[in-house]
Amino acid sequence: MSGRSSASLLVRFVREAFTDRKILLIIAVSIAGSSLSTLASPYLLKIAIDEYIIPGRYEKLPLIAFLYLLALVGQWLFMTLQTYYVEVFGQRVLRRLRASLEEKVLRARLDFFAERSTGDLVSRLINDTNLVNDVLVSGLLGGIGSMLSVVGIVAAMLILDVRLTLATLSTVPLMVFIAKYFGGRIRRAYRETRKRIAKLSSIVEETVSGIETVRSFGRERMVEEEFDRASRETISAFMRVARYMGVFWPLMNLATLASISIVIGYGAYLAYTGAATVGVVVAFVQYAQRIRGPINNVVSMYDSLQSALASLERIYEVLDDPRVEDDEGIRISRLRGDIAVENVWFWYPGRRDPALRGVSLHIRPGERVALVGHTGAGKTTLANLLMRFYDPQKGRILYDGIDSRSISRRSLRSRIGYVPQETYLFPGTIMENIKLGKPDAGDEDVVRVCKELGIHEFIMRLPRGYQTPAGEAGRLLSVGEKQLISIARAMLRDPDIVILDEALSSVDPKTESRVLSAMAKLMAGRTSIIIAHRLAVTRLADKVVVLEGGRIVEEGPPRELLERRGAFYRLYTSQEMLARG
Amino acid sequence: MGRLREWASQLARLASYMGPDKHRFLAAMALVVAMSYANAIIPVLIRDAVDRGIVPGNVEAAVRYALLIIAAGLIGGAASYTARMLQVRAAQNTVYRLRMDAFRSIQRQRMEFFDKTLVGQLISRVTNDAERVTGFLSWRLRMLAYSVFLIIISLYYMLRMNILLAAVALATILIVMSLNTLYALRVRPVYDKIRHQTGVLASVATASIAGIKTVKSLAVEDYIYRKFEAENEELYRLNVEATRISSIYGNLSFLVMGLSMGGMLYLGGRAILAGILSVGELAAFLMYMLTMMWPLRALGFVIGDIQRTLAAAQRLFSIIDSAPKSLDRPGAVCPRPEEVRGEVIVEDVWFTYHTGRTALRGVSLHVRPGEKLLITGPPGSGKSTLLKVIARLYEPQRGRVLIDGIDVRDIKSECLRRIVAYVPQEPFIFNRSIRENIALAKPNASLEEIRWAAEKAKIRDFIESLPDRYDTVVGERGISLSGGQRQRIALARALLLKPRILLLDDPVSNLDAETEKRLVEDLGEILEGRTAIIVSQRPSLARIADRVAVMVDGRIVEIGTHEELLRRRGVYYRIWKSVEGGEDVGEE
Repeated sequence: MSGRSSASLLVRFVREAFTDRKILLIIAVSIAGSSLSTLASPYLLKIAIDEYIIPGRYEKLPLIAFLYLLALVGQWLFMTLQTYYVEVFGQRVLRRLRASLEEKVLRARLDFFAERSTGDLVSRLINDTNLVNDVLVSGLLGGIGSMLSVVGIVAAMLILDVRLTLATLSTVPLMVFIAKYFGGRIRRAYRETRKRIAKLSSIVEETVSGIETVRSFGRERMVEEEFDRASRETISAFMRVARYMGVFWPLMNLATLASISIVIGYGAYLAYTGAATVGVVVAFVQYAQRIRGPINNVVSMYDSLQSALASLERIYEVLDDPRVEDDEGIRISRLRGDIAVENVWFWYPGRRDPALRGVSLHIRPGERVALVGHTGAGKTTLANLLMRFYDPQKGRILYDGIDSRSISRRSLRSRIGYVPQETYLFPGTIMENIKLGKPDAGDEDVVRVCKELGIHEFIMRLPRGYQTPAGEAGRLLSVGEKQLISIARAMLRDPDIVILDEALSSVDPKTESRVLSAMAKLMAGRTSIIIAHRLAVTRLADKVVVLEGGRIVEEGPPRELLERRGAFYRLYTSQEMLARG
Repeated sequence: MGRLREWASQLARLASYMGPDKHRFLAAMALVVAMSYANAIIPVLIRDAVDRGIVPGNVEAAVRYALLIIAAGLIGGAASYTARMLQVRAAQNTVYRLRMDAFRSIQRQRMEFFDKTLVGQLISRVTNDAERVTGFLSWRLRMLAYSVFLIIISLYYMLRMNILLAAVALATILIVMSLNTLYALRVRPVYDKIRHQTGVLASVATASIAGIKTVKSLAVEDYIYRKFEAENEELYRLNVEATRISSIYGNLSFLVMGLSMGGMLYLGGRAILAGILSVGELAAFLMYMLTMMWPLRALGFVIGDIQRTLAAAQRLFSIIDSAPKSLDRPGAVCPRPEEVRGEVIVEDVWFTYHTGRTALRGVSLHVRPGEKLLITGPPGSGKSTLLKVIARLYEPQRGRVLIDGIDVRDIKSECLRRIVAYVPQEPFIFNRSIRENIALAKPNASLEEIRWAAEKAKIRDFIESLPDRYDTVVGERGISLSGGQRQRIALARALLLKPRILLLDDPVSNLDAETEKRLVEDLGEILEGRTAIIVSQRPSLARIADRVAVMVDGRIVEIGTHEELLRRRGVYYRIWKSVEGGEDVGEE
């Protein structure tokens, strides 16, 4: 990261995040107040000693003690205001950052997700935003406060005595050096311990998830040795942290004590020559103690700046990604279900070979079409284009004669019932998951649809019926049963068009028949496109379309195609032979 | 009272893990005393520097005390460093023992334990809980000792200087300590909630990313966004709540400190005027208050922490206690693998899972050496459970399993693993090289042997087409394998051991039609010369089996050759028919 780009990154962040003027004003006032009151108390102590206690002026002592107390109370008050408002301000920035990341993710095009893992994106949304808040909001504001304190303390000291000020500050370069030298090392050593702990977790995770395998192959000893090794490595990582911390804190303390000692020695000399008073020396002893904290804060903030900027960059990378779906276009409320695919060519972003090479297909309202073909023939790609997850580079798709590109994506999708091969269950109950098909549906609608599809019974057999959490249900349900939930989702929204990617290959015969009948009910009276893996499904279709290498090679009613003994026949017989054993 | 006794016994048990590190702990504690003394003496030295050096104008005395202050700092620093190193080492070693004990006991647990326990929980025991105990034994305990000694020594010097001011200091200490404890107790639960809520938010975000295609196809972006927003708002609210508590309660002690220091200045000033206190002593008092500020705060947290640490230790102990001492019976035998004929007898086996589901209801079976048996039946009929019982992953509540006439429970588990190889339905692939994955049970296997096993499992060509061949890393952080490739790696893993008995759990599930066909063809050759029991929901494997058994509801209802069973026109006939009919459009 170059200096200029990181500066501009920071400027952009500050401009975007620091907009809440009112709260910033409170923070500015409390920072100023807190640094003023921090420097006031030693000053007042000096006045108390020099002008009242030593000369024996008893009558004014309560007043000066009261002022001293007021300075300490002020210190408390401003610090409280500062911690509260800085944190609230930071949390607001965080909330906004997270919300805009999530919004972006939801609007992003599918190819945006192809190059990033879920874990990476979630980590940007949770961890990077947190780090940015810690360093660039709380850290920055705290750092400004600390710097102001240092400036204030130095100013107060200069007013009291220039020579003693220089003496006190003589150890500051040493403190900065210590803080800088150890700061980064401690942080890196800490990061190392996190890595070691993560290693331990992954060993436990592997052992437990694979316990059947570990046990069936008598692998226990080896796993234990591995865990032992990782544990020992964890110890040495922690020892490294201890060594740095063990040197760092005493050194910082020693630097402070050195500056106190210098103040005492030199102060005594000045007091002896009459150039300074006892009160001044006592006040300087206190100032010397107060300067360490702010310096440490500023240095450590500076130290973590780099990683926070890296996080900021990762956040902006997502926010600035141009690959978003718009929702422009005609809003449709109902489709007749006439689909015309006209000479469609499609390349996935970054690929040289087209996934579809001039596909043309006409599907009449209410017609049921099965797409068959080997893996990679273009079945799923065609479905992706029909859903407008992508748009074709050449050719067009017409819905009821309207070019799909001029129809709003969301309104188009809400008229299509899409059943993917792998059902994704969202956190929440089964009921909530089915309702995703139509969020404003009532519970009784869901139950009605499930009864209609014949899946009510198996949901009721789950530990808590419709209220079973998706995570628990996910473990109990088979692939086929999950697909039944997808079918229910689609059915609930009463779509005009159905696009179905069946998952029967991994389903046992009994579930297979249930899925088939639910599919048939969903497709009844609707324009339907099924991506068929098990060719048994083709019996639900009026027409079979065989794809090969991104082209349609055969098309017609299933029985006709079988009689023709072409591509479909070959596909079909290879699967059938297997079933007969 | 009972709770206290419980705590004491947990502490004692934790202490027993210290073992040889006990002397390190003791030495560290002694050094902590030295360190608190060195730090507590500094205000006294400053007092003397002021009273004997600065006020009378004795520069030599002032310099002497200044040097003494640095000396105290050096001694304190050296003690602090040594104490820290000793104690961190001792704490790490102690928790190392505890952690290993827990891990070993996880490995000894019966399979039922893993059915009941989530992986995440176990990870959390071995990492978070263990770390909490380490943190307590190392720095929190040191902080506790340091704070307590520092306060005691400081109070001693303060009392010697002025009783009234010392009383003010003591009162302040007590108030601040209770405020800090109250603060720690109040803010802790909110922090826990924040941690939990962060997890909730992360899981909503994860779902919206991992399930993006579903979100888009259902056009529920707004709905999901609102859900995220609600959880985001809750996280914000909790954070503001924590901030409110820490800015009010957390800072309150500073107010108390301020009030008492103001009072000290007034009272101290009066005492100086009355001639019973010196300027240096007043400075020392004020300095003591500043020195004690942070130790007092830490003390509040340490006190609140004791209970949490013991709870964490207790969770580790309960894992250790729940594991059986050993998986083998005393006097277990070890038959030589090459002498095993491979006969499997199952005698009236009953098995009930911890959930109360009875999976096996009196299963009896006789598999002759070298015979291939296919077990089929509807889902949940107990087929997989039977395999697991034969592999002794589970032990039946009634009945027994004999291999060559020996009860499997009387065979040492490490020996059993060399005789019986079990390939689960969803084989687990470890996140490392293919070579290590295949050589799982025989880490010293030569590349030749591994090639041979890969060849037999018909995965060799695939492996050798990879850029790093056998060193290619597979699994989560490596290249991902298809279901069929995983099953073949698992097969190779089993074949490498050249087991007499092979147990295969649905080797053709998750396969597409083409691959299924090829695997079935290959299996005939792979199984040659071995006893094999194969479980499958699809009867396509019948042609490589000598006999077929049909299970329904935990019982074997039919057994015989494929043809016999078809002729019988029973359950098997219907299963066969349904698959065949389901695939058949032409007959309609």
